[in-house]
Amino acid sequence: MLDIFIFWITLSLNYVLLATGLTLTVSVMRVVNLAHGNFYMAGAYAFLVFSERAGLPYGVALLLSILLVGGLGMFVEGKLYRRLGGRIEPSIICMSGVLLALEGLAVLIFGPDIRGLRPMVTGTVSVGRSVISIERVSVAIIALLVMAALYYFLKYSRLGKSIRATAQDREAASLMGVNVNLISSLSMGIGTGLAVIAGIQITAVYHLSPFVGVGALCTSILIITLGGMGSILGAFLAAFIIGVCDSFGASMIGRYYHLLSFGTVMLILLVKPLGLLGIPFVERK
Amino acid sequence: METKKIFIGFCVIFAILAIPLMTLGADPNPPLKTGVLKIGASIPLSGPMSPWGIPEAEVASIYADLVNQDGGIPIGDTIYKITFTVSDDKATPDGMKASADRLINTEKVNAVVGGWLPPIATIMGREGTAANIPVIHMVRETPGIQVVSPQFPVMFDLGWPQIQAIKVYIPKLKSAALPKVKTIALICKDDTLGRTMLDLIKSLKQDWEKNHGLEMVYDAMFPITAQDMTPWLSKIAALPKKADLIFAASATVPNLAMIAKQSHEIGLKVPVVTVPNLTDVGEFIKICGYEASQYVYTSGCAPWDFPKTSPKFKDMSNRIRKVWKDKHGSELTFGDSFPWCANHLAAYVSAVKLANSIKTEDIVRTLETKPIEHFYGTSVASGEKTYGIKRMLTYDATISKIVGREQKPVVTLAGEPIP
Repeated sequence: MLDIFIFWITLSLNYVLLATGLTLTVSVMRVVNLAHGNFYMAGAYAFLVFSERAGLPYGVALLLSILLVGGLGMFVEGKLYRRLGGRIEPSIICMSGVLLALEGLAVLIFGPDIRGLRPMVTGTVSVGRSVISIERVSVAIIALLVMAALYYFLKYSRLGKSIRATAQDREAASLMGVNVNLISSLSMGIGTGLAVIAGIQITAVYHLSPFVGVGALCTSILIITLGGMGSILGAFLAAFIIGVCDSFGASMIGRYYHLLSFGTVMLILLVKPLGLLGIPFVERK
Repeated sequence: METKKIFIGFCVIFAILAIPLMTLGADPNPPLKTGVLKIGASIPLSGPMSPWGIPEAEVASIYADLVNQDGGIPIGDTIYKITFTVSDDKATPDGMKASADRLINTEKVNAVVGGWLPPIATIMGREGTAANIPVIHMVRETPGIQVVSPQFPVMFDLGWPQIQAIKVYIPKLKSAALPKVKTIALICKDDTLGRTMLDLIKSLKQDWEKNHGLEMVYDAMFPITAQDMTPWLSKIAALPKKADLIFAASATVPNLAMIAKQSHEIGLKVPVVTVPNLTDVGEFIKICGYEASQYVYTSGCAPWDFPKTSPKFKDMSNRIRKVWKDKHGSELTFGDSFPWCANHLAAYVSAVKLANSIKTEDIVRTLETKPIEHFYGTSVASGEKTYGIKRMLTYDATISKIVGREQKPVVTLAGEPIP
């Protein structure tokens, strides 16, 4: 049972890492960035190049990957998404295009094979009769640190406050002198950067291929839908609910465990259609 | 009358002298005609099966080039050079149909060789039969689909009997390398092949227990998309009767890597055995970690390590390795690119040489009646004795273990009929 409990905690924090970036971009852009999963995948490949092919130290490779793919996210936001003015249909088509382009590019450059990514730490520790992977624990710790940093950034920094203001009311924020375009780009950059951190950490635990982005996107959408679109705290809570469904569900009901998480989300949405902590965008203008 | 006799005699003498005189100026080795033997390969170059398909196609192409470099295939007074065309079947029924159309109707190939796509190979069998061109594929995997049947008289199966071999897979491995194994935990992916294997292995429970001292202590299925195997592995770790071996019968490479890695992580340091082969041992080790990889057993063996491969084909496989290394700068570590497409191509080339013809009827007769040499030894169509179908060509299977950074054969399973 302890194994499953630890599995739940680490899996949930993986989910937190995965979904936080997406919920941040949704809160500012007002549309779900469908390419989020493939930025996650692109970040992991960028790390593969910097870390294994260029032989750079772990931290340097991680930082360069965040800057590169985060920059790409900002570029895509500025040159593509923003021009669509937040309209749903063109945005979905455009984001799908970015998703497919990133996936195709990864296949072209790296091939379709699965690959392993260098983990930050390896090894196991024994707790009673259970053995815990340090690699997974490190991902959980990184997720907590990232969440804490993001919380303080959004709560106390000037830029963070601008992001929250833009997320609450774009027009009012603009009238108060906030450069909303810059904030949108920055949110996209931070969201993509978080996807990169998640990609590097999670694919090191599992494996990397050009096709891992779609699964990551589906999980992220499930979490932010349950948590409430744009709510970071909601995403945090939802990640633990989905985590409990997936970890205990897989252990108890086996191969159909996804039904449990999807079923739970549907039931909660019946009671709270906007998710756990969701606020309708229309109220926020 | 006398004049007539003299004239006839003169003609006879002239003819006797003239014939050798005529041949004096002739070339003793008259120039042979050249021809093109178009061979198509239907292989998944995109989609989830492409990690197997892409190296398969490349190895087969290198083989075709080397056959051409060696002078081609002499048939009568014609030297045939192979034109090898690879078509992406995406491992889907629609893709296979489109691939068959392209190869048969557009490229007008003389024969089609395939990879490892048992259920949808039926489509190529149907199209090949309609166009009357030989098809060599690996088709026997899905019970109930008898693709090598009288319906498709031009289609041949070449491979080792994977599902049938399951019956002896673990018992043979136990007797050859793992004598202490007494309990098995069985996990299969939740798809057609996985369910078939799980049912088959469960049906063997009593036989394995009684005759081989192997007890099955756990069985479960996992979704094919599962990345985290911890829920299943935790259950195995918590069993009252400890499992000595994990048999992930139908696991894909990513599944296997995760099972090996995560079982090692939670302290289940037992052999992890699967049936499908690896595409790249080096990358596999990187994914699951060196220590965890050392517990992994899979099927397959490179021809340069295979005991029954003839010196001629060993030499050819080593030449292919060299070309690969020159091109990629890395070793061709996955000998498992050979069993399917390149091997099917080799069997077809052998049949063409033996038949001394490129006509479908002659090649089909040769494949049905003569020993066909290929990268994994020599196969004879099984006839009624094996599976009741004449067009099965079977060879031995191998179980290999990851040792260091290579795969080494541990035990060979006979390709003969398995009761």
